[in-house]
Amino acid sequence: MSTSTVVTSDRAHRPFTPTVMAVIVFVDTDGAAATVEAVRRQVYGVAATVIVGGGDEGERVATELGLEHHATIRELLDGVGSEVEAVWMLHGDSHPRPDALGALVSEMGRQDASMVGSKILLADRPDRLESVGSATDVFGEPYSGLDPGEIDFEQYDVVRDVAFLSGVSVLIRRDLLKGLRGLDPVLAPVAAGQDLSQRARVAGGRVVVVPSSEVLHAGRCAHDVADWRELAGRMRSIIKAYRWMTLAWVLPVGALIGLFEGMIRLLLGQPKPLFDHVRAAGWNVVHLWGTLRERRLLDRVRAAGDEELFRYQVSGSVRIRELATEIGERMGWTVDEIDAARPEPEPEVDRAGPVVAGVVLVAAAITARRLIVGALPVSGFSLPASPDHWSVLESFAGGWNPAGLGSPEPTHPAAGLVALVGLVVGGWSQGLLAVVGIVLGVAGTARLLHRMGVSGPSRYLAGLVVLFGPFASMAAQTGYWPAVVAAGVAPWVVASCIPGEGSKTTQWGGLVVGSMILAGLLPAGFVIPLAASAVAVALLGMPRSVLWRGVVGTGAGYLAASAYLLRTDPADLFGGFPQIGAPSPFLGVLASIAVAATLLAAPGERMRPAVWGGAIAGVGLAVAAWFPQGEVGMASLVFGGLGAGVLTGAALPFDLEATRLRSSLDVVGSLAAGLLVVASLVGLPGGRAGLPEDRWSGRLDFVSSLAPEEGPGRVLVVGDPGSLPGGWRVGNGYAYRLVWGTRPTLDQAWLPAEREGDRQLAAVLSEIDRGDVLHPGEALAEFAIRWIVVLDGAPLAQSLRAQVDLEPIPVAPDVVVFENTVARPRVEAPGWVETRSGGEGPPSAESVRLADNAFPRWGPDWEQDGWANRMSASQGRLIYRNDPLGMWPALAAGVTLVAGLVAMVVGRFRR
Amino acid sequence: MTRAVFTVAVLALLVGGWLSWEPVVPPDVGVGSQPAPPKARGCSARVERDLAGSLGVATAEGRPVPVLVVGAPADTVEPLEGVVALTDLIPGGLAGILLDPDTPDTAGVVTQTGIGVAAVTCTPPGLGRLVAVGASTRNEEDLELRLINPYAVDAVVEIGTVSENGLDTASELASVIVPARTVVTRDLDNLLPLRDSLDVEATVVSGAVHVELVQTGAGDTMIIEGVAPAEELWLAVPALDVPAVAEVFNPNPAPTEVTVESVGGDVVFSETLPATSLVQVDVTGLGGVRVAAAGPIGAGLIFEADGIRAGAPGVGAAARWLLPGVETVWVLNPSDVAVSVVVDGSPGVEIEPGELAALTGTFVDATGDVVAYGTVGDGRGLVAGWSLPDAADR
Repeated sequence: MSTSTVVTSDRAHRPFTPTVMAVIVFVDTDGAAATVEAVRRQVYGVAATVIVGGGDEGERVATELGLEHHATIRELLDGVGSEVEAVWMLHGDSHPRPDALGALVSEMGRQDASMVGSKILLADRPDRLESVGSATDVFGEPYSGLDPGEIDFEQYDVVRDVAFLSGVSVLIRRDLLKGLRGLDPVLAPVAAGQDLSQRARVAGGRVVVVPSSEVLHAGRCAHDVADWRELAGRMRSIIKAYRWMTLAWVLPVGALIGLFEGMIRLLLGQPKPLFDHVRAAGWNVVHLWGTLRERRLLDRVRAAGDEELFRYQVSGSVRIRELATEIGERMGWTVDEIDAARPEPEPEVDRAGPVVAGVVLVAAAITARRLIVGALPVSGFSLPASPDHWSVLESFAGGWNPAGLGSPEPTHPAAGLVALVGLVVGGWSQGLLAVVGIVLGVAGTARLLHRMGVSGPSRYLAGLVVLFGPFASMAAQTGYWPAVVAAGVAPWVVASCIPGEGSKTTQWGGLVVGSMILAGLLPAGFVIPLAASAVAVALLGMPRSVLWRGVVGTGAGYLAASAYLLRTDPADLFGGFPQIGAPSPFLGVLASIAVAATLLAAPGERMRPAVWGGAIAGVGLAVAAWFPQGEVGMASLVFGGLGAGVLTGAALPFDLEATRLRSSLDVVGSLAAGLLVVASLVGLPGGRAGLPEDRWSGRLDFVSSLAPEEGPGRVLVVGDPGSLPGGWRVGNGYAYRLVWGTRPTLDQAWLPAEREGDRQLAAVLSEIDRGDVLHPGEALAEFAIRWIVVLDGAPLAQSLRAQVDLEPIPVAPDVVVFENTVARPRVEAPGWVETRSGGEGPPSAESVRLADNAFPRWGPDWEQDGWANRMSASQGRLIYRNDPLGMWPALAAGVTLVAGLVAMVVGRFRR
Repeated sequence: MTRAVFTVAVLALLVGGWLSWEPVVPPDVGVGSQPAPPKARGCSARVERDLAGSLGVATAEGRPVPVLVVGAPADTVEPLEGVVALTDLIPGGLAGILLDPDTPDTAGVVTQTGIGVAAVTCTPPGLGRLVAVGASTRNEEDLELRLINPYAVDAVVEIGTVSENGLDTASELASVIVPARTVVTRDLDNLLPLRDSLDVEATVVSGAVHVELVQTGAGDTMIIEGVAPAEELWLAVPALDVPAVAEVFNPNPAPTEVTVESVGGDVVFSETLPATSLVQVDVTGLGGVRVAAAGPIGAGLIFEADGIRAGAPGVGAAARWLLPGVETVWVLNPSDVAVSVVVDGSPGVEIEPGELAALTGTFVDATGDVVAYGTVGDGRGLVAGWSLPDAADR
């Protein structure tokens, strides 16, 4: 045994033989007797042994053993005279080795320490360390530096100053202990040791750990102590020890960190830490008076400042560090099997999994960074969410849809989903969904491959192909944002169709929730769970339960989208988007090589998923080719992309140990798959996950700055179909659409079917094209069109050269913007203002014209005014009675979603 | 064996899926044709102490026409019908006049009196190229170019001028900005003095303008409106006992073959006109001529004598015409068959092939295609009629 401290004083050579009293803190009867026996066997004998605490039982045991008993150490100290020079405090469930006290005494003398402590080993596994002295952070959180169950190779056997000693075995000079009034009786065991160590140091003493003094600890003392009590004790300890100046920032910052950690752990399914923080804080409030009294007592002996404590503290927050570590561990672990028990140590190659998963997640996050941070490229169907979440949700659930000239048709479920998330989290809804998509994309692909029998880190790389590979890229290039997120959700849903380890409740809940999110993003994607599971059963011989799960997933998905599907023309699912571009022949060749090579040469555990992936990819691609301009095509691409990802994961033999390459053909397949992965990162520099460039950010800012009080009205946007935000209608050689409000939002992206107002607007535009209209502003005012934005080159700009009531506004060089000098508001009545779902204003006997397509569910006192609506202003607002055919399915979907979430959480807690 | 079967099947699916894609077809957004030229008709008028006149407005249906007057000083809109004194519309100065195309089959003729008599037909704006043919800056002649923009959008116009010397232009005319709701003028007699003949080509780069040339000299004024060039134009030559000249203007950057025929079919002139050049052909007493070219050209009819300056552009033949506010309507039958002409519902007049008839009225409705011009002030003002599309074409 060696120490790092070189002692040169004469005292080092002078024998230090203090009279020691052993104080055994009662834990239980058996333990106390064993501890007493171990004390008796000490080479360095003690002058006396007493038992403290334990109430009547402690007193009885003490009597049986012929020992003195005291209720508290403080009571004991009152009766101990100067004949005792040092007190050895021991937990009643500890077993000191015979030379333990001798080593403590020796080092106390050599180091001139006031308080020395032993190395604590686990009683049931004496080769494992429990404590060798600890540091803390500034918030009092202990940091031992030990891994759980770390083996004692004597790697910490250095006598050194520490922030605190375990209270299991501490030798402390009697005069100091008396000055400090012993252990704080209201504190939990660990916190009590920490508190005593800190007070000893504040009083000017040295606190040193002596690893040569070994004590085995059964740990029963902590069994009945709640975590929050330890936490509360640590809070009390720092309140007692720190100066006020330090406390002024430590307490609030500590509270914030506790709150942050509690919230994060709550999201991780661990609600207890948050409650522990709350209870600990409450306990300290209740005991504040006693804490301040203790603090005043400590002030009498205070000899050192907080700096002395800081010297032995680690930087930062231990709790945050542990949280980050746990999240990092979970990243790999969760990706494999979130429901499974934590796996045993894996082979070397599998340990690379979390690292690869982390790298893949980071790469995915970089590739989609603009989506995550909320800087979504505003283009096509990649549009920001409306801030009026509730109104959008209502539009989905049978309310009025103001897109275009308004319609009773529902808002697209993707907009409803974004609004729902926005309502729950209060914003950042699309960024959050992008994060969910990425995490589920990587995790889900890995899980799916895992459940299909593929192991190794290639599973994570396959996630990149699912998220950003050739199929996802084709969808993204059309600007269809929901498909990009859906590509991430799909593998999780399909993986949920295959039973795994862990809680069935959680798995069913995950399947339902995932399927609903998938169908919410892509209504036509509700069939994906059933289609994928059917192929798995047919081709891979998976059990029928997989098919049933697919049926449930598809059912849940249909329910999620039913409010939309039931009230929308099915033909809309097959058209209305920019055409999906043809896939790259180069990537086709790569995929074909990967398929052929893997199917011919790979071992069975990799061949089967490759069959499934190749078939799914082929079917998805073919269906998308048949319907390249609609939701069905998008869903097919997501489906096919999932297959391409699984094919890649199966073809990549990253796990060299488990799946050796069978032949050079297998190598070729793996290389092709590897190139597919690399090709998936093409969009990394752009950070848009393959979505087109931003075309509309800030382009309509002039509307908000120039709009009158009664509302911004509508913007008529004219240009090429691909250049417009969202859907469009066809004009004479150009596409056009209306945008309500100050910017194009996601809920307006999907234009409902044409109604009378839309037809009349088309007729007006046709007249303008014919040169028949000298006053187009007047003609467009009827539709509440206040602005006309003509993208460069659109023929309508030519038609608007010879007119008298549309004033050009210089906005940008590539657009021609006109302001309608004779515009009329969407809601036409004195003092009224428009809202997303109608309008409001002072009640009066007048009538209000709403320049939306006429529909009799409007009120009060609705009557048709041409193609528009006219209502009574008597109630001060316009009211739309929601369509039950939209409302009830949406409500049912909401209830099912909540039930699925509850099932996920309950299942996890049960586990 | 199983592997091979699976491989072939899956590969077939995958390759089939890949090959089933077709090239992207741009979304069908209609024919994408150029928009039709605006149907609004515009012109200008000046009211000063010694200068006034009238605006004749008419529709085939006899309804009032909303007329927008811009720039004098505030914009006004009035529904008008018949002949209205300019002083009732324009407080003073130069103003643009715009006839609202929302009322179909509308025509307007401005007659200016003061220094002689001049008349001009309100014409559609140019979105591309307009030509005004038949002006001059020879001694004592003032020539003003008017660019009229009664619309809400600023216009930019490139002006090219051609004289007897060929391309003959001034840098000040290279790019003229015509702000919305204004009339911009340029004195061509200062910029390009002493040209016996001066034709103008206005290329509208952005916005829309109406173009007029106003020539004053020898105690009379002539206003010539800019019109789109065409490959076939007719000139009805009223019998005014004044020498009549047909001026043909080739604004194209390439030589163009041009033929001038009398209404009876006699070739008066047939040559290839060099690029950006003009030629004058005497058509006195011919009754009417047809100007045909291999490319779009401009043509105008000019009457010049002491105290007389009158001119008007060539027109296409049509069955229906409006000439509001003119004293005499000259109707030429350019066809091989006689046509019956009804003016303002009066009993029909038979016009033989090649015959030029002098009638009175506003609305000419013929049984076949004819060419109509109008004169005011005993021939000191000449205007081309405003042809209406056939009812079936509307």
